Amino acid sequence: MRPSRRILLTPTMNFVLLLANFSGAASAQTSSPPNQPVESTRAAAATQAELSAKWNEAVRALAEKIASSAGPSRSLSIDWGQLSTLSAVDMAFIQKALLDELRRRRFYVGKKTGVSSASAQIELVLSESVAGYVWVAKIRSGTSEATAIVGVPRIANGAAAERKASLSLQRKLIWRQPERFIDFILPDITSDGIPHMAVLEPTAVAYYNFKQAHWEQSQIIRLHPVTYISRDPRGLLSLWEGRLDLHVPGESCTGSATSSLELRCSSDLSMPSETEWPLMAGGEERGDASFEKTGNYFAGLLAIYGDVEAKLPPFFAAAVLNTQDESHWILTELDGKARLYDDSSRPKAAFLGWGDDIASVVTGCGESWQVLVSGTSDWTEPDQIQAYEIVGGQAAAVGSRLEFPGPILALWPSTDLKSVRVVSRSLQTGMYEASIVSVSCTD
Amino acid sequence: MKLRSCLFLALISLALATVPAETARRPRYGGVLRVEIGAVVSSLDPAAPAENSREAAAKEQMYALIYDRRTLDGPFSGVSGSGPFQIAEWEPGKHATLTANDGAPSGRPFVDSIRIQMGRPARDIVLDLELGKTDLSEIPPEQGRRAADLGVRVSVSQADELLALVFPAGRLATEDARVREALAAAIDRASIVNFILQKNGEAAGGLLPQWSSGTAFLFSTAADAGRAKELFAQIAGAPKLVLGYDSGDPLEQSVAERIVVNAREAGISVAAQAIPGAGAAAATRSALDVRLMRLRMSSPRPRRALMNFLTALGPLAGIDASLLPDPASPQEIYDRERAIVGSYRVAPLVWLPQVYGLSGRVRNWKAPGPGETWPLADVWLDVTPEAEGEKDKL
Repeated sequence: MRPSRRILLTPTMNFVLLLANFSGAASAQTSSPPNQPVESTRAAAATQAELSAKWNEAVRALAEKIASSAGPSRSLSIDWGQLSTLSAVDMAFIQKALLDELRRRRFYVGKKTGVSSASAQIELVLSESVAGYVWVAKIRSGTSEATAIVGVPRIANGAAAERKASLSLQRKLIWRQPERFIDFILPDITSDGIPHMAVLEPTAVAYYNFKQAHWEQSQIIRLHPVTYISRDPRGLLSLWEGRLDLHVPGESCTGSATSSLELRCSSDLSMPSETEWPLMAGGEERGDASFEKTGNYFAGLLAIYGDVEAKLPPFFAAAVLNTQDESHWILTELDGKARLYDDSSRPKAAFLGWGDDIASVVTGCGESWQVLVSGTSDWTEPDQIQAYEIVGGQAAAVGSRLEFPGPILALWPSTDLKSVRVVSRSLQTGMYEASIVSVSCTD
Repeated sequence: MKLRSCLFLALISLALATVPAETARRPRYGGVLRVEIGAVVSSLDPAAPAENSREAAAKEQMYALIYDRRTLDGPFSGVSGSGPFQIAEWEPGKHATLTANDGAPSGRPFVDSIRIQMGRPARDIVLDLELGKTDLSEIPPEQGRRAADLGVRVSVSQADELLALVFPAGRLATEDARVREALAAAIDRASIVNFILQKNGEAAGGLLPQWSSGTAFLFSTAADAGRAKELFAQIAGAPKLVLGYDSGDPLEQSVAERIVVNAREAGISVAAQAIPGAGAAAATRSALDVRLMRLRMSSPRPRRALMNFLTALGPLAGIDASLLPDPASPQEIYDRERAIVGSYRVAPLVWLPQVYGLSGRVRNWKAPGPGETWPLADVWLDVTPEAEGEKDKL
């Protein structure tokens, strides 16, 4: 049987056009290698440089194989095919790099002009396997035929969506690691002037210093939560007026996060852990709620300071909204609905199609207070955050949604009013990612 | 494997994977997951041999639920109940009830229990899915489209099971490579995919699928009846071939019958013969000139998957099963694959996906890949009004 020829073969010129059309697209990337900090511009540039280096190495290997299989021919014609997820930008880069490399090796690369004994015909397909990219060149020179294959490691190519609308959400990827973590926090004031970060895992909290463009772990403190292990572990770090509080089911700690992490935990003091986790909204602690230690939700005991103490249905997350006259709060309850309450403790409205993780922000845009809401579906699919305004008991989506390449596992409000901390898992890389999502007004 | 085929199959998969319930996303605890399987598992004793490949596969799935881990060389081991579930009821060959292990090392499963019914015919499984009497079942690939047409929520894995013709070594009728090449060239793989599998599969030319190796497109899958006729005409005393297939496998039977027709059109005489599964008498199998075999990938990694295939096929087909370097380059893997396929000792036919039917309340389900087991400890049941089809109320 003869090998298949029914792949899409694209003339060389098409790639040159693609290069012209897409050359500006790469700056949208905000990804970084594992365990690296991400700052969008610098990271994008670094990633692109790394990308080029990776391609160059593979391009040289492929050119070497083509050169050794082309026999005496110094004239080549190439038909290109594409069977991979490579972007147009990458494809154009690879094509140009290979042509340059072959010319450097004194090959003439021209258009296909029919079979000639003086030229070698190459069908070059950029393919992909489970392990990475696979570049395949079928070389016909005279009566001989050879297949040259080069494997190329896949490079993580995460991207943060950023959309413009009346209100826009921006994602800044801060950290990623292969092990699951459940919250993180970046203290805004440190005594040594070095940025720090605490990353909360189910049974430990790690502290990092930002040095030489990298986060370096400086401390790790083991926690002693209840022996009950959850497949949906939850925990919370809250920093308020210089005091750091840490909550996981069965363990609570309090202390400070400055140049180092100082924590006193309930297990160390042989005390029962606090089951009330603080509710943050509008940049301050607005109340607390009791967390169910053998589940993944709050039990329903809720206190909004100065407004209400109530026994409400169990819920996954709460968002508090203050207007000029009154407070409202929204709970995402276990029946899949989000309900709006006021101080009568009776639901005023129910919202469908919301995910279970919500947090309020105070942006000053539109109605001033907005609720950021995760998407529906489950952990096997990509996720999103959508901002809503609550007007007259109705929820109205504002601005475009912000897409995530995997499920959002935690969403907590930050103390700066306008942003939230997000822990998500990329389905593309399997890495757990920490992001700050901030909201800004646009015209 | 062709790009157009890839795109077409992607569209088919999208069409088959009906939209899951759209409610909230954080897992809920509780509920009973109802599972139906076609296999009959007679014993959960790891020392008891399985009657056939389907029982072996089902046992593997159950072990993954009740054992914490595998040994280094593969099988699950340890204490029964150390995994995410514990056996609460066990009626051999009929049903099992597993309850969540609160102390499971990776955390308590989200569902309270799993009720498994065994020995269910495929047609009944599809009916139960349609009627909402079960939550999760494996569906034969050839019935995936019908199930989707009936409104069943269908989940399709990547194509990871190879259906191939294997020519046992030492058979006089097939010792001439031209006989094997002629039969391989006569087979219309596209019609097997389109008509028998209802487009729920891919024509196979190599021993690894495109998504795993990236080089499957280099192998032709096109039928060439002219070439088959030409080759077979060159052979003196044209042999009559006996093709064996698993008597308990309706898909293999349909494919075998199609091959007989294709072969006849190319002037090749082939008789299909049903053989019992794993328990087949050696004497029956030794009378076969060619066998239909299903080969499930053990890993998504091309080297490991290929080595497993070669280890399984080597003694039977007399092919080179020597170890590939570890790691092996794509070139080394392709060269070995090309050598095996070029010997015509193995003729790849089609790649089959694993197809699952799900009820609307099953969440966090991801079709397992090669070497993976059903992720039932991570599955949860959505009991919200929307998932249960109830009307909205505040």
